[in-house]
Amino acid sequence: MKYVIYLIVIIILAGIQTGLFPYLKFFGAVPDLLLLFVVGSCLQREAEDAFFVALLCGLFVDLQNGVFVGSYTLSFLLLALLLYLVIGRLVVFELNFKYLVAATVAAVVFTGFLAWLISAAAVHFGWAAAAIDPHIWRSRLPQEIAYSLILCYPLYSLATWTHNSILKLQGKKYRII
Amino acid sequence: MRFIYTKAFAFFSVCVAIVAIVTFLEAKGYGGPIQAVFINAPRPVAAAVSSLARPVRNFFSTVYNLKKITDQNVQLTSQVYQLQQQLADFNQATRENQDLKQELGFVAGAKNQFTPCTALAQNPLGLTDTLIINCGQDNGVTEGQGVITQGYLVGKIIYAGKTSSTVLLITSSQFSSDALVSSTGDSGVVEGSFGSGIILDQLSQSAVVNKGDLVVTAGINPQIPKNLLIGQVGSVLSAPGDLFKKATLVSPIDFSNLQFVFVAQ
Repeated sequence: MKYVIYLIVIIILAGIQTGLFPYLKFFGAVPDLLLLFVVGSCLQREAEDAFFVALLCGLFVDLQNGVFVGSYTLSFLLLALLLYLVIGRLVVFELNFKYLVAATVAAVVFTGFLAWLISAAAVHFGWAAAAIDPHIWRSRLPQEIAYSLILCYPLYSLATWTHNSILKLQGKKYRII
Repeated sequence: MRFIYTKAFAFFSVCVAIVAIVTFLEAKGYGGPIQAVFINAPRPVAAAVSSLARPVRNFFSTVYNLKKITDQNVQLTSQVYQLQQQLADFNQATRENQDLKQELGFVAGAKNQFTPCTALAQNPLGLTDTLIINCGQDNGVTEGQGVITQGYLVGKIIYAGKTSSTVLLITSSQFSSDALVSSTGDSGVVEGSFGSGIILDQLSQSAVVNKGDLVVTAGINPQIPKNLLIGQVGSVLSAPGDLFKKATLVSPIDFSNLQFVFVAQ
Protein backbone atom coordinates (compact mmCIF):
# COMPACT_ATOMS: atom_id res chain seq x y z
CA MET A 1 0.00 0.00 0.00
CA LYS A 2 2.74 2.47 0.97
CA TYR A 3 4.49 1.91 -2.33
CA VAL A 4 1.29 2.77 -4.22
CA ILE A 5 1.07 6.06 -2.28
CA TYR A 6 4.69 6.86 -3.12
CA LEU A 7 4.04 5.98 -6.77
CA ILE A 8 1.04 8.35 -6.96
CA VAL A 9 3.00 11.21 -5.35
CA ILE A 10 5.94 10.65 -7.73
CA ILE A 11 3.67 10.58 -10.80
CA ILE A 12 2.10 13.88 -9.71
CA LEU A 13 5.54 15.42 -9.18
CA ALA A 14 6.76 14.17 -12.57
CA GLY A 15 3.65 15.69 -14.15
CA ILE A 16 4.25 19.05 -12.46
CA GLN A 17 7.90 18.92 -13.54
CA THR A 18 6.94 18.34 -17.18
CA GLY A 19 3.85 20.56 -17.31
CA LEU A 20 4.78 23.56 -15.16
CA PHE A 21 8.52 24.12 -14.91
CA PRO A 22 9.28 24.63 -18.62
CA TYR A 23 7.35 27.91 -18.07
CA LEU A 24 9.15 28.79 -14.84
CA LYS A 25 12.80 28.72 -15.81
CA PHE A 26 15.23 30.64 -13.64
CA PHE A 27 18.09 31.86 -15.90
CA GLY A 28 17.60 28.75 -18.03
CA ALA A 29 17.57 26.33 -15.10
CA VAL A 30 14.72 24.23 -13.76
CA PRO A 31 14.71 22.47 -10.38
CA ASP A 32 14.55 18.69 -10.27
CA LEU A 33 11.48 18.10 -8.10
CA LEU A 34 12.05 14.35 -8.07
CA LEU A 35 15.60 14.79 -6.74
CA LEU A 36 14.31 17.09 -3.99
CA PHE A 37 11.64 14.52 -3.12
CA VAL A 38 14.35 11.85 -2.89
CA VAL A 39 16.32 14.09 -0.50
CA GLY A 40 13.17 14.72 1.55
CA SER A 41 12.42 10.99 1.69
CA CYS A 42 15.98 10.14 2.74
CA LEU A 43 15.68 12.55 5.66
CA GLN A 44 12.73 10.51 7.00
CA ARG A 45 15.29 7.84 8.06
CA GLU A 46 13.39 4.93 6.51
CA ALA A 47 15.91 3.15 4.30
CA GLU A 48 13.52 0.99 2.28
CA ASP A 49 11.16 3.87 1.53
CA ALA A 50 14.09 6.09 0.52
CA PHE A 51 15.55 3.44 -1.82
CA PHE A 52 12.16 2.78 -3.41
CA VAL A 53 11.57 6.49 -3.99
CA ALA A 54 15.11 6.89 -5.38
CA LEU A 55 14.60 3.96 -7.78
CA LEU A 56 11.28 5.24 -9.12
CA CYS A 57 12.34 8.89 -9.34
CA GLY A 58 15.57 7.92 -11.10
CA LEU A 59 13.72 5.85 -13.69
CA PHE A 60 11.29 8.73 -14.32
CA VAL A 61 14.15 11.22 -14.82
CA ASP A 62 16.16 8.87 -17.07
CA LEU A 63 13.28 7.81 -19.28
CA GLN A 64 11.66 11.23 -19.56
CA ASN A 65 14.91 12.94 -20.49
CA GLY A 66 16.11 10.31 -22.95
CA VAL A 67 19.43 9.76 -21.16
CA PHE A 68 21.06 6.37 -20.63
CA VAL A 69 18.82 4.40 -18.26
CA GLY A 70 20.76 4.14 -15.04
CA SER A 71 22.44 7.55 -15.16
CA TYR A 72 20.05 9.17 -12.71
CA THR A 73 18.61 5.96 -11.24
CA LEU A 74 22.00 4.79 -9.99
CA SER A 75 22.93 8.33 -8.92
CA PHE A 76 19.70 8.68 -6.92
CA LEU A 77 20.15 5.24 -5.34
CA LEU A 78 23.73 6.00 -4.31
CA LEU A 79 22.63 9.39 -2.99
CA ALA A 80 19.88 7.71 -0.94
CA LEU A 81 22.40 5.21 0.43
CA LEU A 82 24.90 7.93 1.34
CA LEU A 83 22.30 10.17 2.96
CA TYR A 84 20.88 7.22 4.91
CA LEU A 85 24.33 6.26 6.20
CA VAL A 86 25.45 9.83 6.97
CA ILE A 87 22.22 10.88 8.66
CA GLY A 88 21.92 7.60 10.53
CA ARG A 89 25.42 7.86 11.97
CA LEU A 90 26.17 11.56 12.29
CA VAL A 91 22.85 13.24 12.96
CA VAL A 92 21.80 11.98 16.35
CA PHE A 93 19.56 14.90 17.24
CA GLU A 94 16.49 16.33 15.49
CA LEU A 95 17.03 17.37 11.87
CA ASN A 96 17.22 21.10 11.33
CA PHE A 97 17.29 23.50 8.39
CA LYS A 98 21.10 23.37 8.05
CA TYR A 99 21.01 19.64 7.32
CA LEU A 100 18.30 20.14 4.71
CA VAL A 101 20.29 22.88 2.93
CA ALA A 102 23.52 20.85 3.07
CA ALA A 103 21.78 17.71 1.82
CA THR A 104 20.12 19.62 -1.04
CA VAL A 105 23.33 21.27 -2.26
CA ALA A 106 25.26 17.99 -1.97
CA ALA A 107 22.48 16.12 -3.77
CA VAL A 108 22.35 18.54 -6.75
CA VAL A 109 26.14 18.48 -7.19
CA PHE A 110 26.60 14.75 -6.50
CA THR A 111 23.80 13.45 -8.72
CA GLY A 112 24.55 15.92 -11.53
CA PHE A 113 28.20 14.91 -11.66
CA LEU A 114 27.60 11.17 -11.26
CA ALA A 115 24.80 11.10 -13.86
CA TRP A 116 27.03 12.94 -16.34
CA LEU A 117 29.88 10.50 -15.61
CA ILE A 118 27.65 7.42 -16.12
CA SER A 119 26.05 8.77 -19.31
CA ALA A 120 29.46 9.77 -20.74
CA ALA A 121 30.82 6.29 -19.95
CA ALA A 122 27.75 4.70 -21.59
CA VAL A 123 28.31 6.75 -24.76
CA HIS A 124 32.04 5.92 -24.68
CA PHE A 125 31.30 2.19 -24.56
CA GLY A 126 28.62 2.48 -27.24
CA TRP A 127 25.68 1.62 -24.94
CA ALA A 128 23.93 4.97 -25.39
CA ALA A 129 23.52 7.47 -28.20
CA ALA A 130 23.46 10.77 -26.29
CA ALA A 131 25.32 11.91 -23.20
CA ILE A 132 24.35 14.64 -20.78
CA ASP A 133 25.80 17.91 -22.04
CA PRO A 134 28.82 18.79 -19.83
CA HIS A 135 28.26 22.50 -20.46
CA ILE A 136 25.26 22.27 -18.15
CA TRP A 137 27.74 22.26 -15.28
CA ARG A 138 29.32 25.50 -16.36
CA SER A 139 26.19 27.40 -17.18
CA ARG A 140 23.36 26.18 -14.98
CA LEU A 141 24.67 24.75 -11.73
CA PRO A 142 24.48 27.91 -9.55
CA GLN A 143 20.94 28.68 -10.75
CA GLU A 144 19.92 25.07 -10.25
CA ILE A 145 21.25 25.06 -6.69
CA ALA A 146 19.51 28.37 -5.92
CA TYR A 147 16.21 27.13 -7.36
CA SER A 148 16.53 23.83 -5.49
CA LEU A 149 17.16 25.65 -2.21
CA ILE A 150 13.96 27.65 -2.71
CA LEU A 151 11.95 24.47 -3.22
CA CYS A 152 13.74 22.08 -0.85
CA TYR A 153 11.56 22.84 2.17
CA PRO A 154 8.19 22.41 0.35
CA LEU A 155 9.42 19.11 -1.08
CA TYR A 156 10.77 18.02 2.33
CA SER A 157 7.37 18.85 3.82
CA LEU A 158 5.66 16.83 1.10
CA ALA A 159 7.96 13.87 1.82
CA THR A 160 7.25 14.16 5.55
CA TRP A 161 3.50 14.45 4.93
CA THR A 162 3.58 11.39 2.66
CA HIS A 163 5.61 9.45 5.21
CA ASN A 164 3.26 10.45 8.04
CA SER A 165 0.18 9.61 5.97
CA ILE A 166 1.56 6.14 5.39
CA LEU A 167 2.32 5.71 9.10
CA LYS A 168 -1.19 6.93 9.92
CA LEU A 169 -2.69 4.40 7.53
CA GLN A 170 -0.60 1.70 9.17
CA GLY A 171 -1.80 2.86 12.60
CA LYS A 172 1.67 3.94 13.76
CA LYS A 173 2.84 7.11 15.53
CA TYR A 174 3.98 9.90 13.27
CA ARG A 175 6.13 13.02 13.47
CA ILE A 176 4.98 16.65 13.16
CA ILE A 177 6.45 18.48 10.14
CA MET B 1 25.42 -4.99 13.10
CA ARG B 2 27.36 -4.11 9.96
CA PHE B 3 25.28 -2.37 7.27
CA ILE B 4 25.86 -5.05 4.63
CA TYR B 5 24.05 -7.61 6.82
CA THR B 6 20.94 -5.47 7.24
CA LYS B 7 17.57 -5.69 5.49
CA ALA B 8 18.14 -2.15 4.14
CA PHE B 9 21.24 -3.26 2.25
CA ALA B 10 19.36 -6.25 0.80
CA PHE B 11 16.64 -3.87 -0.41
CA PHE B 12 19.27 -1.56 -1.89
CA SER B 13 20.83 -4.53 -3.74
CA VAL B 14 17.40 -5.50 -5.14
CA CYS B 15 16.95 -1.91 -6.42
CA VAL B 16 20.37 -2.00 -8.13
CA ALA B 17 19.48 -5.37 -9.69
CA ILE B 18 16.22 -3.88 -11.03
CA VAL B 19 18.22 -1.01 -12.59
CA ALA B 20 20.57 -3.53 -14.20
CA ILE B 21 17.64 -5.48 -15.68
CA VAL B 22 15.92 -2.33 -17.02
CA THR B 23 19.22 -1.12 -18.51
CA PHE B 24 19.80 -4.51 -20.16
CA LEU B 25 16.26 -4.55 -21.63
CA GLU B 26 16.72 -0.97 -22.90
CA ALA B 27 20.08 -1.80 -24.50
CA LYS B 28 18.60 -4.84 -26.24
CA GLY B 29 15.70 -2.78 -27.63
CA TYR B 30 12.99 -4.32 -25.41
CA GLY B 31 12.62 -1.28 -23.21
CA GLY B 32 9.74 0.23 -25.22
CA PRO B 33 6.87 -0.85 -22.92
CA ILE B 34 8.74 0.26 -19.77
CA GLN B 35 9.60 3.57 -21.41
CA ALA B 36 5.98 4.04 -22.51
CA VAL B 37 4.69 3.47 -18.96
CA PHE B 38 7.14 5.92 -17.39
CA ILE B 39 6.62 8.55 -20.08
CA ASN B 40 2.84 8.29 -20.29
CA ALA B 41 1.98 7.91 -16.58
CA PRO B 42 2.52 11.60 -15.66
CA ARG B 43 0.95 12.87 -18.90
CA PRO B 44 -2.58 13.58 -17.55
CA VAL B 45 -1.12 15.61 -14.66
CA ALA B 46 1.34 17.37 -16.99
CA ALA B 47 -1.44 18.22 -19.46
CA ALA B 48 -3.68 19.59 -16.69
CA VAL B 49 -0.90 21.67 -15.12
CA SER B 50 0.30 22.89 -18.51
CA SER B 51 -3.20 23.96 -19.58
CA LEU B 52 -3.36 26.13 -16.45
CA ALA B 53 0.18 27.49 -16.66
CA ARG B 54 0.35 28.24 -20.39
CA PRO B 55 -2.35 30.97 -20.55
CA VAL B 56 -0.88 32.73 -17.50
CA ARG B 57 2.61 32.62 -19.00
CA ASN B 58 1.31 33.76 -22.42
CA PHE B 59 -0.52 36.70 -20.83
CA PHE B 60 2.54 37.98 -18.94
CA SER B 61 4.81 37.25 -21.89
CA THR B 62 2.54 39.26 -24.21
CA VAL B 63 2.40 42.21 -21.79
CA TYR B 64 6.18 42.11 -21.34
CA ASN B 65 6.85 41.94 -25.10
CA LEU B 66 4.11 44.34 -26.24
CA LYS B 67 6.44 46.96 -27.71
CA LYS B 68 8.57 44.29 -29.38
CA ILE B 69 5.45 42.68 -30.88
CA THR B 70 4.25 46.02 -32.28
CA ASP B 71 7.63 46.67 -33.93
CA GLN B 72 7.73 43.12 -35.23
CA ASN B 73 4.24 43.53 -36.67
CA VAL B 74 5.32 46.57 -38.70
CA GLN B 75 8.40 44.71 -39.95
CA LEU B 76 6.43 41.59 -40.85
CA THR B 77 3.75 43.58 -42.68
CA SER B 78 6.37 45.11 -44.96
CA GLN B 79 7.99 41.68 -45.35
CA VAL B 80 4.64 40.22 -46.45
CA TYR B 81 4.40 42.76 -49.29
CA GLN B 82 7.94 41.92 -50.41
CA LEU B 83 7.25 38.19 -50.23
CA GLN B 84 4.03 38.55 -52.24
CA GLN B 85 6.06 40.15 -55.01
CA GLN B 86 8.66 37.37 -54.74
CA LEU B 87 5.89 34.76 -54.85
CA ALA B 88 4.58 36.17 -58.11
CA ASP B 89 8.13 36.00 -59.56
CA PHE B 90 8.54 32.48 -58.17
CA ASN B 91 5.29 31.27 -59.78
CA GLN B 92 6.45 32.70 -63.07
CA ALA B 93 9.83 30.93 -62.71
CA THR B 94 8.11 27.65 -61.74
CA ARG B 95 5.97 27.72 -64.85
CA GLU B 96 9.03 28.44 -67.01
CA ASN B 97 10.95 25.66 -65.26
CA GLN B 98 8.16 23.13 -65.91
CA ASP B 99 7.93 24.14 -69.56
CA LEU B 100 11.70 23.79 -70.01
CA LYS B 101 11.74 20.40 -68.23
CA GLN B 102 9.02 19.18 -70.56
CA GLU B 103 10.94 20.44 -73.57
CA LEU B 104 14.13 18.68 -72.42
CA GLY B 105 12.35 15.47 -71.29
CA PHE B 106 13.76 15.90 -67.78
CA VAL B 107 13.00 13.00 -65.39
CA ALA B 108 11.54 14.28 -62.13
CA GLY B 109 13.37 13.17 -58.96
CA ALA B 110 11.58 11.08 -56.36
CA LYS B 111 9.77 13.16 -53.76
CA ASN B 112 10.68 12.77 -50.11
CA GLN B 113 8.42 10.77 -47.86
CA PHE B 114 7.79 11.97 -44.35
CA THR B 115 6.40 9.94 -41.47
CA PRO B 116 4.37 12.00 -38.97
CA CYS B 117 5.32 11.39 -35.34
CA THR B 118 4.30 12.77 -31.96
CA ALA B 119 6.72 13.89 -29.27
CA LEU B 120 6.45 11.62 -26.22
CA ALA B 121 8.88 13.34 -23.88
CA GLN B 122 10.46 16.74 -24.20
CA ASN B 123 13.49 16.52 -21.97
CA PRO B 124 11.99 18.46 -19.01
CA LEU B 125 15.39 19.03 -17.36
CA GLY B 126 17.13 20.12 -20.57
CA LEU B 127 19.91 17.59 -20.11
CA THR B 128 20.64 16.27 -23.59
CA ASP B 129 18.85 18.34 -26.27
CA THR B 130 16.99 15.23 -27.34
CA LEU B 131 13.35 14.41 -28.02
CA ILE B 132 11.63 11.04 -27.74
CA ILE B 133 9.07 10.37 -30.49
CA ASN B 134 6.47 7.65 -30.91
CA CYS B 135 7.87 6.27 -34.20
CA GLY B 136 10.37 3.45 -34.31
CA GLN B 137 11.68 0.66 -36.47
CA ASP B 138 8.11 -0.59 -36.93
CA ASN B 139 7.39 2.67 -38.81
CA GLY B 140 10.53 2.41 -40.94
CA VAL B 141 12.57 4.81 -38.81
CA THR B 142 16.32 4.19 -38.79
CA GLU B 143 19.29 5.95 -37.19
CA GLY B 144 20.59 8.99 -39.07
CA GLN B 145 17.30 10.05 -40.68
CA GLY B 146 16.48 13.75 -40.65
CA VAL B 147 13.57 15.10 -38.62
CA ILE B 148 11.63 18.22 -39.59
CA THR B 149 8.78 20.35 -38.35
CA GLN B 150 7.07 23.26 -40.12
CA GLY B 151 9.47 22.69 -43.03
CA TYR B 152 12.59 23.25 -40.91
CA LEU B 153 15.19 20.63 -39.97
CA VAL B 154 15.05 20.08 -36.20
CA GLY B 155 17.38 17.12 -35.74
CA LYS B 156 18.23 13.57 -36.67
CA ILE B 157 17.45 10.14 -35.28
CA ILE B 158 20.23 8.82 -33.05
CA TYR B 159 18.44 5.81 -31.60
CA ALA B 160 15.62 3.83 -33.19
CA GLY B 161 13.82 1.39 -30.89
CA LYS B 162 10.94 -0.80 -32.04
CA THR B 163 8.16 1.66 -31.21
CA SER B 164 9.95 4.84 -30.21
CA SER B 165 13.05 6.77 -31.23
CA THR B 166 15.36 9.43 -29.86
CA VAL B 167 15.96 12.58 -31.90
CA LEU B 168 19.16 14.58 -31.36
CA LEU B 169 18.10 18.21 -31.76
CA ILE B 170 20.01 20.54 -34.07
CA THR B 171 20.78 22.75 -31.05
CA SER B 172 22.82 19.99 -29.39
CA SER B 173 26.59 20.47 -29.35
CA GLN B 174 26.83 16.82 -30.53
CA PHE B 175 24.85 17.55 -33.73
CA SER B 176 26.47 18.19 -37.11
CA SER B 177 25.21 18.05 -40.70
CA ASP B 178 26.15 19.35 -44.12
CA ALA B 179 24.49 22.59 -45.25
CA LEU B 180 24.71 25.30 -47.85
CA VAL B 181 23.81 28.94 -48.20
CA SER B 182 20.77 28.94 -50.45
CA SER B 183 21.54 32.17 -52.34
CA THR B 184 25.21 31.45 -53.18
CA GLY B 185 25.55 27.66 -52.88
CA ASP B 186 28.53 27.97 -50.51
CA SER B 187 28.69 24.83 -48.39
CA GLY B 188 29.55 24.40 -44.72
CA VAL B 189 28.68 22.35 -41.68
CA VAL B 190 25.79 23.08 -39.35
CA GLU B 191 26.47 22.38 -35.69
CA GLY B 192 24.58 22.88 -32.48
CA SER B 193 26.10 25.14 -29.90
CA PHE B 194 25.17 24.92 -26.22
CA GLY B 195 23.50 28.12 -25.09
CA SER B 196 23.86 29.93 -28.42
CA GLY B 197 21.70 27.88 -30.79
CA ILE B 198 22.92 26.85 -34.23
CA ILE B 199 26.23 27.63 -35.96
CA LEU B 200 27.13 27.37 -39.65
CA ASP B 201 30.84 26.52 -39.61
CA GLN B 202 33.64 25.62 -42.05
CA LEU B 203 32.58 28.08 -44.74
CA SER B 204 35.49 29.09 -46.95
CA GLN B 205 36.81 32.60 -46.38
CA SER B 206 35.76 33.53 -49.92
CA ALA B 207 32.14 32.56 -49.24
CA VAL B 208 29.65 35.40 -49.38
CA VAL B 209 27.31 35.24 -46.38
CA ASN B 210 24.97 38.02 -45.38
CA LYS B 211 22.56 38.47 -42.54
CA GLY B 212 19.16 37.01 -43.47
CA ASP B 213 20.49 34.49 -46.02
CA LEU B 214 18.61 31.21 -45.92
CA VAL B 215 20.60 28.08 -45.09
CA VAL B 216 19.39 24.67 -46.29
CA THR B 217 20.61 21.08 -46.12
CA ALA B 218 23.15 20.17 -48.80
CA GLY B 219 21.98 16.59 -49.33
CA ILE B 220 25.48 15.05 -49.06
CA ASN B 221 24.17 12.75 -46.34
CA PRO B 222 21.55 10.66 -48.20
CA GLN B 223 19.45 10.24 -45.03
CA ILE B 224 18.81 13.97 -44.76
CA PRO B 225 17.08 15.24 -47.93
CA LYS B 226 18.45 18.18 -49.86
CA ASN B 227 17.03 21.71 -49.54
CA LEU B 228 15.37 21.38 -46.14
CA LEU B 229 15.36 24.76 -44.42
CA ILE B 230 17.65 25.05 -41.40
CA GLY B 231 17.47 28.75 -40.58
CA GLN B 232 18.51 32.27 -41.49
CA VAL B 233 21.96 33.73 -40.99
CA GLY B 234 21.89 35.86 -37.85
CA SER B 235 25.42 37.24 -37.70
CA VAL B 236 28.75 36.40 -39.31
CA LEU B 237 31.53 35.49 -36.89
CA SER B 238 34.86 35.67 -38.62
CA ALA B 239 38.24 37.21 -37.86
CA PRO B 240 40.76 37.98 -40.65
CA GLY B 241 43.17 35.26 -39.44
CA ASP B 242 40.55 32.51 -39.24
CA LEU B 243 40.80 29.55 -41.60
CA PHE B 244 37.04 29.29 -42.00
CA LYS B 245 34.10 31.64 -41.80
CA LYS B 246 31.42 31.02 -39.20
CA ALA B 247 27.87 32.34 -38.82
CA THR B 248 25.10 32.02 -36.29
CA LEU B 249 21.77 30.73 -37.57
CA VAL B 250 18.34 31.72 -36.37
CA SER B 251 15.54 29.17 -36.60
CA PRO B 252 11.90 30.15 -35.99
CA ILE B 253 11.25 26.79 -34.33
CA ASP B 254 10.68 26.66 -30.56
CA PHE B 255 12.83 23.63 -29.77
CA SER B 256 11.59 23.45 -26.20
CA ASN B 257 8.00 22.94 -27.30
CA LEU B 258 7.97 20.45 -30.18
CA GLN B 259 4.67 18.58 -30.37
CA PHE B 260 4.64 17.00 -33.85
CA VAL B 261 7.53 16.20 -36.16
CA PHE B 262 8.11 14.37 -39.45
CA VAL B 263 10.85 11.85 -40.09
CA ALA B 264 12.30 12.01 -43.62
CA GLN B 265 12.47 8.58 -45.27
